[in-house]
Amino acid sequence: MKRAALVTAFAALISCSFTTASAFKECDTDLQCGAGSACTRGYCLALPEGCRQLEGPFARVGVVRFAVIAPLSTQRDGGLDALEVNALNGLALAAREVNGNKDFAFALFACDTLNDAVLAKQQVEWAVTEMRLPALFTSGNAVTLLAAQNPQRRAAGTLIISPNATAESLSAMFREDHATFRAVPPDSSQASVLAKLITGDPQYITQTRVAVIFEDGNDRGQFATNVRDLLVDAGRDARVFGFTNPLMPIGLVGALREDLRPKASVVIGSPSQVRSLVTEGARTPGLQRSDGHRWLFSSSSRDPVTLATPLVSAELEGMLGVAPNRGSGALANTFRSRFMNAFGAEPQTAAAAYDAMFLVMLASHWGNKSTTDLNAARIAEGLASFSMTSGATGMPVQLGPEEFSAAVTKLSESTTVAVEGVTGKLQFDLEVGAPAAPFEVWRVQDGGFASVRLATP
Amino acid sequence: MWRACLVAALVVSSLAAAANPKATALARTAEQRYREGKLEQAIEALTQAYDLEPNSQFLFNLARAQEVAGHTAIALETYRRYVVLPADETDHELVARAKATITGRTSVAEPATTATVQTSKSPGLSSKPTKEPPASSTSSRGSARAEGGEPAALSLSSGPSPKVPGLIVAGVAVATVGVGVTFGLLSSGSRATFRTATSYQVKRAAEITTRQQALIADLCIGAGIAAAVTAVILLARSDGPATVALAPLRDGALLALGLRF
Repeated sequence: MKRAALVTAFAALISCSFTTASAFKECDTDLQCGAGSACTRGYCLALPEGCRQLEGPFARVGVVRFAVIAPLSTQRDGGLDALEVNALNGLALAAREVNGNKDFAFALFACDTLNDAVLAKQQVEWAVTEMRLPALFTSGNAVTLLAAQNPQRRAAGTLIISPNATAESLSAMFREDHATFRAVPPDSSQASVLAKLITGDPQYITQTRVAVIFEDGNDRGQFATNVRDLLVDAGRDARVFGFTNPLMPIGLVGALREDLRPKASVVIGSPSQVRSLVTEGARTPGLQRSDGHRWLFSSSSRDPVTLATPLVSAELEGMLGVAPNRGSGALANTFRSRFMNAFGAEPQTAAAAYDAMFLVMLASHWGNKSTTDLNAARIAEGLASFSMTSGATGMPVQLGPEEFSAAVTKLSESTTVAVEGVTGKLQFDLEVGAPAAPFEVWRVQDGGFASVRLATP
Repeated sequence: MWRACLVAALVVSSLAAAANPKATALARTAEQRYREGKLEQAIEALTQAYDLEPNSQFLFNLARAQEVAGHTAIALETYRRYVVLPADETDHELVARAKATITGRTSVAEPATTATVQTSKSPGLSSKPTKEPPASSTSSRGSARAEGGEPAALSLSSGPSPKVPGLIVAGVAVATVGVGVTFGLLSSGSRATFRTATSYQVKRAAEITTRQQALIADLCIGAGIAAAVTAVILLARSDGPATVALAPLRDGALLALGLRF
């Protein structure tokens, strides 16, 4: 009896031991790991805080996966940023439309940074190091700069593409790593358009004293300096004024009044800060609309948050701003229709996001035609193939669900293609890693924003 | 049982062959004392018997008793005295075994020839007449080992119990299984780390650690089972003799440990 018990115990121990030494491969697909996890190299890893599976066939083996890292929430436990969600939906729509169109499948993880730089860093490093994703979509200058400068990202060479980041230093990063792309033109181009408006638009052309006001951080100082320099070159008395978020710009307004008494002010800052500034200006003699003072805004102000109060809305009525092109023409119209069908909302920032996602998917196809090991370098090479030297013509390619297969074919036939997305022509300037596209000039109208025209830098 | 019968038969036959009745009586007394474990008394009786009648069988038995009593050097000397007796006075097989004992090459595999301290089952003393063919032979337990037939300097007899080897192996089995279980538990812990890890590197490291620990656990448990089976077999056969011998090698620089069962 004792021997039998002993043998049984030994057998149990052996079976336990062998059990612990096997079944280490946990997954082939993300779906096998559950909604809160992702599969990487056979292991299920929990998604970081703020991340989730957004779009794509997560149950499919061999799906090409990307991550979106964006400040979807204004803060921890705060509300959603409508424009960020809009852009996220643009990315998701592009993936949805392409999946099933070819034998290539794309999936997207979405990571909400909660406007927390520490969390954003964790998410970037998770995507780069743990998941080894070939490409990241980053929203906004802050997140894009953080991701671009991250040592782990740089070491891995992970491709970054932002549908809206315009920071000037991203151009230098692109020249260094050839992996930091944007789907919108850089601030240097925007500065040129802003300066042209000051010196050419009837509303501003007579204003000789111009303040260029910027909110600290994310290369805005460099942006402001570029604008000032262009204005000074154009014969304007232009000076730069900075302020720091989240301080209310009372001191700034005092400085404006005492030092320059500007007749026009170019504002580069986040919507809530711009609203505070305009509110304070509306109470300050010399900076009021009735005094002839005019405001001009950069792209970040094209946000309903800017006009959230009647006072600001009224004070800014008719004044202009600049933003990356949101699209016009037939492609934009059909996109708008599809987007509204899918999400029940107007596409606002979604167009550029849609284009960015489409470009990366096309480049992935291009990158995958000669190797099964898709990586960031191959995608970057594909994106670079969308470039054209000035005056050259490439094979025309339009971005859309019906055109994807044809675009892939054209890509395989031509070294350069002329890509036209929802936001316009998307040929990349390989000096800055961004398309040399025109900007939209917008106007505050009836408490909202209206597109006026396109302006080239 | 069969060994006891055989020895009894040998004793009777040898006693019958003895010429001196007093020597024969002393031989019987010696046999009795030997069975009772009173080895010194047995040696004394055999010495007296041999003095009365220089029967080579008495001398051989004396050597056996001295050996079992732990008087190794004396026993070897007695064996040497036995082997140098004229061939017609000795049994050639016993001579060979005596020589083997002296040289450390003795083999005691045969149950009938093995003497143990537990003499109730095996008296181990031969009283066979010198000129009769040996129906049994004795061999030493715990005999000294030496190279090249040279006498060993030291020979130790076995421990007090024939179960010792079995118990030793059982102890090894328990210890090995214990190590295996320990590594099995460590492996389970590493496995838990693997399950909860949120980093690829941690997962990978936990997998490697778990595999290594599990392998060690498996090997140890496997070896432990083998040892346990061996121990069970040994203990089941522990009514037979077992020998542990420790002896210096020929040059005296090393010790040899022998375990026989």
